[in-house]
Amino acid sequence: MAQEEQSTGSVFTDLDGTDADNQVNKWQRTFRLWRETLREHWGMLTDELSVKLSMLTVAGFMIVAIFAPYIATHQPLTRQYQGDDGILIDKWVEPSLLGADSEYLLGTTAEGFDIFSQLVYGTRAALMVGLIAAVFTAGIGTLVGLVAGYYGGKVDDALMRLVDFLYGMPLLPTVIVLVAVLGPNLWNIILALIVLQWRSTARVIRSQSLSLRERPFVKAAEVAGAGDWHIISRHLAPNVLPMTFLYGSFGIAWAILAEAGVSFIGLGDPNTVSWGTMLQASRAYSALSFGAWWWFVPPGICIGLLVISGFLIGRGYEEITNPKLQ
Amino acid sequence: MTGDDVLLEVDDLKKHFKVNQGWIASLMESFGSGGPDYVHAVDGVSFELREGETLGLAGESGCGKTTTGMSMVKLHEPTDGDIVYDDTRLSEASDAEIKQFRQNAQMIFQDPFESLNPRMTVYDTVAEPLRIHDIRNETARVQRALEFAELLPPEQYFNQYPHELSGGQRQRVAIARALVLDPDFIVADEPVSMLDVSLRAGVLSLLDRMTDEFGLSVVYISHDLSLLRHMCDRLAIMYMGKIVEKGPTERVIEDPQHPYTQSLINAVPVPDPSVGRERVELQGEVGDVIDIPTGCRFKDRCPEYIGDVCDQVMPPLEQKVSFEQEVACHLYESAEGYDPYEELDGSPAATETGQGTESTPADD
Amino acid sequence: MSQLEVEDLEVYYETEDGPAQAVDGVSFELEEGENVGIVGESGCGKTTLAKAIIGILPDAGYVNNGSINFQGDDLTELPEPQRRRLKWEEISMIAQSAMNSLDPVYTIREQIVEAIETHRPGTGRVESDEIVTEMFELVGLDPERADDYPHQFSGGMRQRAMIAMALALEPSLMLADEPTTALDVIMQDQILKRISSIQEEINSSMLVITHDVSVVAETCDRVIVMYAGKVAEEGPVEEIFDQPYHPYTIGLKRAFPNIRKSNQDLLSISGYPPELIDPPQGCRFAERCPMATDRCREEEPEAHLKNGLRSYCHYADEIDTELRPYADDPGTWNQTAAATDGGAEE
Repeated sequence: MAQEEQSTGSVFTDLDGTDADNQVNKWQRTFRLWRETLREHWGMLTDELSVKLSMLTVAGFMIVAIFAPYIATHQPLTRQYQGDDGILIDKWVEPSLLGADSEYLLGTTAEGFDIFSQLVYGTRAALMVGLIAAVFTAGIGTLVGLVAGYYGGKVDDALMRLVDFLYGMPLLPTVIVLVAVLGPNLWNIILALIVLQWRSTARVIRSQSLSLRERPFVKAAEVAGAGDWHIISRHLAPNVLPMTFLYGSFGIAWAILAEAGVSFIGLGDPNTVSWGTMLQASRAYSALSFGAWWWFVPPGICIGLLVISGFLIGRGYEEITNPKLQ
Repeated sequence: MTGDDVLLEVDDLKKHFKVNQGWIASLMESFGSGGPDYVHAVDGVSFELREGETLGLAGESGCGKTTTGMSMVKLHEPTDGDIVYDDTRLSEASDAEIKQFRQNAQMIFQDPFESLNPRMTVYDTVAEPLRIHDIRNETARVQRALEFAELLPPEQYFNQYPHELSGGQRQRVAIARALVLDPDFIVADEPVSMLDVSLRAGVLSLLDRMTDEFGLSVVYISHDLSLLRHMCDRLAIMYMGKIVEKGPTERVIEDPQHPYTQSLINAVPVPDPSVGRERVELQGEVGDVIDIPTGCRFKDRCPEYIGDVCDQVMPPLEQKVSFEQEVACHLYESAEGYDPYEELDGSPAATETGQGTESTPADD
Repeated sequence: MSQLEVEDLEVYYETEDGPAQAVDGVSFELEEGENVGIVGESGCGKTTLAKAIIGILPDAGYVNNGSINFQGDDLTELPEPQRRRLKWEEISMIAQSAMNSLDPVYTIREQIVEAIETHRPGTGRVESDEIVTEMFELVGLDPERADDYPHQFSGGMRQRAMIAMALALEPSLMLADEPTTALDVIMQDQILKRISSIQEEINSSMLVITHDVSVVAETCDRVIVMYAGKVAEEGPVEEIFDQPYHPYTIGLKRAFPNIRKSNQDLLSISGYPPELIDPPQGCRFAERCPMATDRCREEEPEAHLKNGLRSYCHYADEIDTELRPYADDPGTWNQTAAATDGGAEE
């Protein structure tokens, strides 16, 4: 093997026999690798003003979501009643923000729910859908893409045929069908989204993985004896990470839009309030013709803000994935 | 200086790549509309690598030298033929034996900018092979490897990323990575061609030191014959997937016998304006490596073409009577008793052509 | 009057950290029919110089000072339309990689004809076709294949098609930027031979830009050695190779292996070229020169005329007398390599 029979010895002969010194833990170093990568991304991302603002927006929404019970003035799905005797439902009340004499910041809905509280609690649904769907679609897509790109051949063919199949199905209609079948529940909506959305991430990560695989440093790892998983996790994954995050960010936006769409047509979760259900309700009760714009405009704005933020953060990642920079 | 022990033997290595067709064409072909096309990148290459020697694989682009080098470190699985290491045929080796082999066979690549994972520090890059093989003493070995590669002080480089280093430094890190496992041999694929000229000698001297001081064998792949003359003990010239001439460097360069080698050497420019050079007029281009012609592959361009025997009988690489190096050419008399003219009037089976071609040679 | 006179040319690039002085005070002359090679390593400014002469500097590049006089006109002062006219008709360029210069969706003929039409509008189709045929024959390509697409040509053939395109308007000055770097040895030999014979036939002058000293040795009459944006040495090719008067040239020469010689001691110059944004005060090469003195580090050297050569080294005279054997010895250089850091921080 390496040095035993060599009469000339080797560069390392005097080292063997000495104690193994500070062997840094394998996991520690892998963790550190990822941490450094993320830190570098962070720096580049936050360079861009639009990304900074977007991140603040998202952070703002997250705070609202976490502290919803403290921020909301009432319970979102509890009917509000007029006066102390509590008989008449406080419907169609005008918002106090606009100067009306009411205790509801944004007024109430046709069913007597406080709009402001609905808005606040709606943040939770939006973020839940957005983040969970994004994490899973980016995660599954990346995993599939890495495996397909790395192994190539039949594995790649099989996985990509699956992706092709999924591509054949239009997003919203399929989500609607799935939700209709599984039941109108926030989790089912999230599930339906995940089942379809990972396809685009998979495609893109696969092509990156294919080209990365041919680069000399991957071949060097192969020559050194690295196993498949080692190469995928330590060489391919960190280098496709920017793309993963990019698709993750876009995924947030798409997920929120999809949920809003599904809820809007009435397949939303009746037990949870979301901005989509608010829009649906406002349409059902013809808020527009009654001029109660304070019912549907705020949720619309919130959806818009969050979606745009998602996209802008994704765009920030485009800078990072720009090959010119590497 | 060089022992005569054979470290590794390449035995009739063949590597054919299927030309990408798409699945419809593949389907159609299973209905018999002709065989698939193969690029015969390496088509029957044999040589020995001895302990402590630097062997050059030379040739122009597409001749198969890089594919041969990569096959030697098992980055490619041979289509046919084998690599024999330590008396073991690698195609029959167990997984454990292959892993052991990988500790002893390393490679350096051409592009210093692509050789290192941009997300890994220098320390991690050089330490990785040690971790894969669970070798103790990691930090000390990494340090020593970096020292040997003249990246001093090593500690300064531990936490640097590739993009902070220059091309020359990156290549040195790649060398340190290749050396850290203390391999028996290294395949170096154009290791300095992308470096500035003034830096090349420094990097090459590292390889020299490894060979001289520690008995490392190096397979040096390049198209730059001037460099190969400077670095290598023995030289093999490749053309269209086969070796056409092989022997001690001095002999091959000073006294080339194969017409292709002669043209190649004549074509090399010399950094000396006072030296007149007989310009070579080699017509045509390198032949098609998919549809291999019968007989000698160089026949269409050879200025010394002698007739049917060149056209139909493929010359084997063998020892010839009048000189030291082995040559694959019908011009010279074989020292091994082989007579190509016998095959000329004989059966089609006598000629070897690459597999996958449809025509049966010598059938006219 | 020489055909091309570059005087004190300064070409800078705008960068985030300030202007990068890619070419910093370069002067030379080119006579009609002459073949001059510009040699240097990465970052020496040779490509920038070429681009400035042709007029294809990127947006961030600009001429800070100096002049480029071509047949009497100062190119730096010339307005755009006239500049464009000069391109291709008078000065044309053979780029490094033909692959990237030929448009894959047009045939070779179409591309050449387009070049002709752009610069000489009104040239009839018949005449243009004649020029194409003539050019193809000149570069050794079969004129029947003029209607092929670039991808149908091999690498060597594409390079020749590029040359044909560059010559179509019979320019008086040709710039060849690393014309053979991407080619195999045998193809390189053929192309070099072609270029030389073409040059003789149409009597144009040529500027060859390369890092390969052997190419220059074989094809050029004169050589300009550049380092870090400045000229290190300049002179007739035989003299420069025989007895150079600048340490960098001496070192560079010994860094190239010669296939005709055995047992060479190759030389390696330690360190890296200086930053172009904040170049050092004195001689640019002082950092890496084994014979540098304090004077070298502080004072920029002027031109010293020796033996028909122009050398920008304070000690050009001393090289003649005492220093040459010392400079010629690879040991001198490798000593510096061992002493200094194997790789300086970038």
